[in-house]
Amino acid sequence: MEAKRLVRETGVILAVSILLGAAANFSLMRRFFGGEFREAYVDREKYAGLRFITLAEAGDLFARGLAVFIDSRMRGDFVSGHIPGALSLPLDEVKHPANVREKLKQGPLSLSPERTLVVYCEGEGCQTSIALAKLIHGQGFRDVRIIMGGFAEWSAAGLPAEESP
Amino acid sequence: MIRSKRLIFLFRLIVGGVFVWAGVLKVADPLEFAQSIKNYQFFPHEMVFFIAIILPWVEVLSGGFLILGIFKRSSALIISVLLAMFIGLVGLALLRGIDTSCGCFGSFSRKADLSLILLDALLLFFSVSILRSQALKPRTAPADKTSTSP
Repeated sequence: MEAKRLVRETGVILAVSILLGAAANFSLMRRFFGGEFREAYVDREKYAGLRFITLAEAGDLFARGLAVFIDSRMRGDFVSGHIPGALSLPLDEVKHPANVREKLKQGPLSLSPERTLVVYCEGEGCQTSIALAKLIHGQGFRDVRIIMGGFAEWSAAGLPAEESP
Repeated sequence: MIRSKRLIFLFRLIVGGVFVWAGVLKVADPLEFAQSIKNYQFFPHEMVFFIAIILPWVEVLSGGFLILGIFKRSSALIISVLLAMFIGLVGLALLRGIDTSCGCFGSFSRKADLSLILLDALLLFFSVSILRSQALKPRTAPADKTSTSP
């Protein structure tokens, strides 16, 4: 009897949670079933200038020199190999908006908000590029792109890479 | 085994309060929470969405019920299972070398590290204590009208 009651009460809590979750997020669910959030859970309404790009698009921007590449990986990974000309801005060092603001005022990182930025991290499924792109977007940059396959896909495709001394 | 009613009540307030607070912060920004879950690289992408919209409500309800004294056992059971899962997830993330924030308290989230596992373990001890104290509550036996005892 006790076990039955426990199961019944647990079921009630879970069922009510599902109902509340669905009701409170009805519009989000519509957007999800409409095909949004397929790459990442980034709100396009909140981060309008942020988008995900393929390796081909990234390679094109690189070849034409149309974007500044930003590497969100740890400093050691950047030193071992990165996209030529990319700037290192490890997420680990700038987890708060105030830190990003400071960093984006220094040296080569003091960029115009009009510039197109391409952020990347290790490879497919890595998350630091998304988190960093959101922080940069919050500083007024309106064209921030993320390479979905990250540096792993870039180097596997034989695209140029360089090491830092 | 903790028998003190006052201590168990205090545990209920602490665990319930933490869960209500954590749940409310996540309810306010489910996408941020979804991205935090995704950072653990454990659940399939689509499943993450449903976890992110339902789990915060499970936390709010079970935490709230624990404080109010409604469905105490089942709330403590749910919270204990959740805490055990959180410990497992953070442990796995550490073993796999994933550097991520825990996602536990929305934008107030902290790094998923060993100290977080210890904090979750402490909360798990509290919730299991609540669960066990409720299970051992003395029950009033129904009056036996046919009893022949003197």
